[in-house]
Amino acid sequence: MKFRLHILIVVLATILVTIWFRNGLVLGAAESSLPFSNLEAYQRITKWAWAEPALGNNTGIYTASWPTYLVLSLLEKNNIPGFLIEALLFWTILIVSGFSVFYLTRDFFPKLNDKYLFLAAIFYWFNPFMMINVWNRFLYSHMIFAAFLPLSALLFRKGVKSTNYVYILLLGLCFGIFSYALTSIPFNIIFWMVFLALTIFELTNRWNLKVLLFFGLTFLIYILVDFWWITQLFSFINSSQYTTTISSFFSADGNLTTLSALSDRLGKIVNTIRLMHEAFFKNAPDYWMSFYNTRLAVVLEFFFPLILFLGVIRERKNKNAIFLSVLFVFCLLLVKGNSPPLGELFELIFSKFSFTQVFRNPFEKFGFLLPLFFCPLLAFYLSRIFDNKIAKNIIYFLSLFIVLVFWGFPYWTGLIFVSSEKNEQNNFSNYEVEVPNYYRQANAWIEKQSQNARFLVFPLGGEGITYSWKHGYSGIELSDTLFNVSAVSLNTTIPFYYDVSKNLEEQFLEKSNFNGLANLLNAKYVMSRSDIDYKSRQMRDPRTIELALSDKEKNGEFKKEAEFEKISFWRNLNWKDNTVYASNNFLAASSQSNLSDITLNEGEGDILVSNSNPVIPANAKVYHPESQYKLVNNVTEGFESRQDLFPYSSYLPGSKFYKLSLYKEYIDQNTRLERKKRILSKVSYLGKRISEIYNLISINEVDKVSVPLQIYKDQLKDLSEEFRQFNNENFKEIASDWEQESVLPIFLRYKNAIANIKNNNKLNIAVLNLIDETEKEMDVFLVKSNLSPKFGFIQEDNFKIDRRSVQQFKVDDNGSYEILIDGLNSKNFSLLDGKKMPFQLDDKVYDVIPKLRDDGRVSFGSYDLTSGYHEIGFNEVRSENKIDFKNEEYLKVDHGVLEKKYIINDFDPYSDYEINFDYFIKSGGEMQVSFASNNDSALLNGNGAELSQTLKSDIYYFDFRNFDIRTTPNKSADSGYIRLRVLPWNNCLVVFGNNKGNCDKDQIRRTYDKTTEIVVRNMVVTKIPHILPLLVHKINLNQAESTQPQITYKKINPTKYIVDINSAKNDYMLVLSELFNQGWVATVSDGTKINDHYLVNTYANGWWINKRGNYQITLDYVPQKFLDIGKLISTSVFAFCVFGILFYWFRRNAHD
Amino acid sequence: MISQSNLYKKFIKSLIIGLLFVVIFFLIISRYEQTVFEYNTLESKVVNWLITIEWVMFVIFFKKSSSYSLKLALYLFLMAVLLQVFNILDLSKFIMGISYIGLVIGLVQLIKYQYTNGHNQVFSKPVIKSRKKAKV
Repeated sequence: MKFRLHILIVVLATILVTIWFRNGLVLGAAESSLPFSNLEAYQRITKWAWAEPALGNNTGIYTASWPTYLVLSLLEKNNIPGFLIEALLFWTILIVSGFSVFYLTRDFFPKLNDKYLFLAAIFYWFNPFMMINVWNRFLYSHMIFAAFLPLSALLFRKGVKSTNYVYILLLGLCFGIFSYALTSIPFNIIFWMVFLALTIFELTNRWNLKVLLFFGLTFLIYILVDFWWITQLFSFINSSQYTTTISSFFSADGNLTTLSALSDRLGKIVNTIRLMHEAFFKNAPDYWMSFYNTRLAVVLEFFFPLILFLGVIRERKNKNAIFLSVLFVFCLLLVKGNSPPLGELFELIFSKFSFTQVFRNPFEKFGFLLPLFFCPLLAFYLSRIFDNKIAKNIIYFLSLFIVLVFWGFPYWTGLIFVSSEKNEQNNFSNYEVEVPNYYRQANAWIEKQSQNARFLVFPLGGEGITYSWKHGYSGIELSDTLFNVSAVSLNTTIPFYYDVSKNLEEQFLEKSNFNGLANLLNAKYVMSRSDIDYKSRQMRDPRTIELALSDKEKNGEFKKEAEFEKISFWRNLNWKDNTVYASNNFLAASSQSNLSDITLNEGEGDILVSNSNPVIPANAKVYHPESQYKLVNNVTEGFESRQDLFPYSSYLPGSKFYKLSLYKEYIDQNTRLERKKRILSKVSYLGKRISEIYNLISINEVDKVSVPLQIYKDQLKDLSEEFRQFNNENFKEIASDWEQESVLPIFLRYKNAIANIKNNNKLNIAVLNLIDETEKEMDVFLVKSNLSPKFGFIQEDNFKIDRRSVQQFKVDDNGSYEILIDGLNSKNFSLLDGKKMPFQLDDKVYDVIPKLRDDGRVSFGSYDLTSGYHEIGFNEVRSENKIDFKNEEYLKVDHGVLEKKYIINDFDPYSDYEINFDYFIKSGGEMQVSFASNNDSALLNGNGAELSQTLKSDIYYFDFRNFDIRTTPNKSADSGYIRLRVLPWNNCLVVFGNNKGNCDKDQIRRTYDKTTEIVVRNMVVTKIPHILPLLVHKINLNQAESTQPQITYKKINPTKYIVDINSAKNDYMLVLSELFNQGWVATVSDGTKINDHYLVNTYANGWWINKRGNYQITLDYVPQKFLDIGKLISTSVFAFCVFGILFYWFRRNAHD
Repeated sequence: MISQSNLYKKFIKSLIIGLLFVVIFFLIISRYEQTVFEYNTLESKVVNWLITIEWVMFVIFFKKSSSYSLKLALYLFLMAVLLQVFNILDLSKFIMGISYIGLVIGLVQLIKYQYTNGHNQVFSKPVIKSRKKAKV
């Protein structure tokens, strides 16, 4: 029996893998990319501490995957097809996990019949968690961890029980072989939690120091075997990049918000207890996953949790079962995050210990523990729950049916590798991928041409991409896999890289001198690709890129050099190798700078440096705004009875409950762990104080007004600090200061309301003084909290506040500064041309006629400024109506859909748009208004528009209503239009109630249609360009003409460059065009380390060098040294483990 | 005298349990929709913790065994499953939560029992025995 069941596990695994790879294609999706189409590329990337793709980046913890890629790439080198290697990996995962769970269950319950062990093993494969979070999620780290976890738990349990140290050596092998699973920090924490639980359990059985020693030695072997990637992890954590990543893209508040959202979506006990991913099944489209929502399916899903309950009640004396049950229930507590019940415990730990924030998605991470503990328990309880043999057999075969057929169905059919979302062809695409041959040819060609340079890929979208190949791919962008040459091909949140990539396509299309900018990125080629499904990713239409490149070819900027079916390469005609170069011609820019600033300064070889650097002599300084303040119009209103702004107070000063109500407020505010909500509640309570003041005045208790006024003043002080801190921690970009635009008018109303109190002539002097003080406090508060500009929003007769936007700058020197506007491109300049345009500069208003410069920027003239803060404010600029619309449109529909489109003229994706019209729904249903673009997804019946709103009739107001909305189009759109869709009124769903399926039939549905009549009039769509001013200060350096040194360089490997410097006569900047990282170190041949290491060109490394003559400089990425040492230690310890086991095995055999 | 004192203590305990039950009941009834369905409100958190306290106090005051808690949790679980099957999802979610609280309390009682009353039976049972058997 035992033998047969072992064979059966192998046979089942083989059948599964055969089904999955029956078409001879590799599988690929999600963030794991498509490594099996080019394993060598991944081996090469993970081998070094510095990964070259894109602009380069540290490899960090991903070096942990190197041994896996090394072994698999060896198979690839031996001409084994990628799909077979992938199949082998999947088969190994199934075998290892199946047998591990089999033996782990036996270890916990030694007397258990093998058929139950078999059930445990296959339930570990076929359970809803594994189905969705491992296989459908398609992350290799998850898959390998699913095998590693039970194996390591088995070895550790056996070892800790017997305190046989050979298990430590076996665990050492396990840590090395399955190191890919450890690329995720949470997984490292999780399996150590399991080890800790097993150790504690063993200690409760027998208090023995050897047990503790076993745990300690296992930890030691883990550190030593995995030393190579641990060095990289720590060098990353200690790097400036880590702190920048954390501060730029993560925050404690953001993490808490994510945790709450994910806990709410995935953490409900009612789903986690049956190991189900709620979002996947609940939002299931009408496909295989929707079957699991049927009533019968729900009953079957709860069958195993029921067995668990019954088992716990029945088997209360088996310590192993109790141990596993406790662990399972504890895991449920972890998996559900901060959702109820008792979720506050998780939230408390999450918010107090920052390292726990890696578990922002607790279901995805801790979820692995659920099947680990559930499977052995299930096997045991199934065997014990009935004494009757027939009942036992029935329940066993029912369980086998649930596992193999009910949960196994998507596995046997390969449906687990089908996306749950439809593609553009309205199909559910599977994960089978076949990379077209032309990519291999293109790769070979570009490898020959590149000479250390990189290439830029357009259309350039986000992290995800969908290729429209015959067997297409949808997942993370693939350029790293498809090409052995670095390419800037996606936009992702890597510090410094993001600053470059986010606007790169815009620069490419909008700037005429893109070559210079491409040179700064060391880009020799631009690749255009038309084999992508651009609509599904809202990317730019590839034809626009082709047209732009053709124009640039005509202008002599680029030349088409190669074409491989659907991809083409265009050479940058001004390219020069900027991998390593030197210059002493600088432009300094403030921290909000972007790469296009370099186009402000003429001349090649220029370097963009930070203007906070006092050492480097810059020819000009560019200042970008540090803060931005917006105000729609002047706020003149004061107090009015509005619950949202001035909440009603039941208890006023003098009432014995007043203090109690203040305590209640205090509790309410401080139990809101989410800071956003806490701050907003505090703002609201300030309004309540004003409401109290007005209530007191209305009942003639003027003498008590000072109480709420004083509390208001004190609370304002508290709030000021919290506001400022929150903004500083969470928002780095000026445009996104939190809630400034909505909160400022509220405070201005509070201010007016307080000022209006003075009109009451019954107030005494003390109260009036307090009001004055509070008003002053308000002014200070608004500036300190970053809600209002220092100089305020200046108003004059010709310059009223009308959607005013004020930008704040901090300049270093006294002198003349030119005000330029970057956002007004030549398309939009016509809005200003020839007209005077008023603006505020600090507390004065100027009225000038702007001029368009050659570089496409608009100049508002030069002004003398002193060092310190300055503010520039413009009112919004609006175009005339951008659509052709007659005065009135009558829309009537009896059946089907009536659709009207209004094309937007001179469409500009970098401007905002405002849509305004009146509408009257005379009869019937509703109207959908969309701001649609040419690259909207064709899914959702064409409703994948950036903005889509449904206008319905009102039950009270039966006349024309106004619709007014403002939107920012998708930046990758080339054309846009307003679409009105009108549907007939229909009550089919109401009539059919439970048989709603009937309404899907067009003929039946039609009979319930009733006419809809809608009148639309005065539709106006105005374009509102972004006005982002910047200040340019030219500096006359008055220095003799300086010469640049001659340099040649040699690239040893991705982490080392040797640079020969000849004839250095001046100070200069040596630039390495790899992503800035403090791990890069420059050392002169005499051993002197150059400490002046700066961020240049917004992303690259620059060293300020003042050594003259001829010499050599070595550029090293230091973590590579740690990696080399780490590899040596890890390999030695791994070899020690192998020999130790062999020694033990031979000795035991000899002894026997 | 002794029995009178016990009666008095029992009365006090019942009163506390009863009062807490009334508080929970009114919290649920008075803000039924918010408390049960909107999990982010303060009340729903309070209700869950109050139920936990109520359950623990009940078990301690009336010396109920782990079996009692586990069975009650099982009944609640079955009720939640039934509601889930009939698509009454929000209530099912709420009841399943309480069932989970019962399961946690039942297991804690079980561990406590193993450490005290059942110590000789279970936790001191040598593990080595089964291992040796397996080797043989």
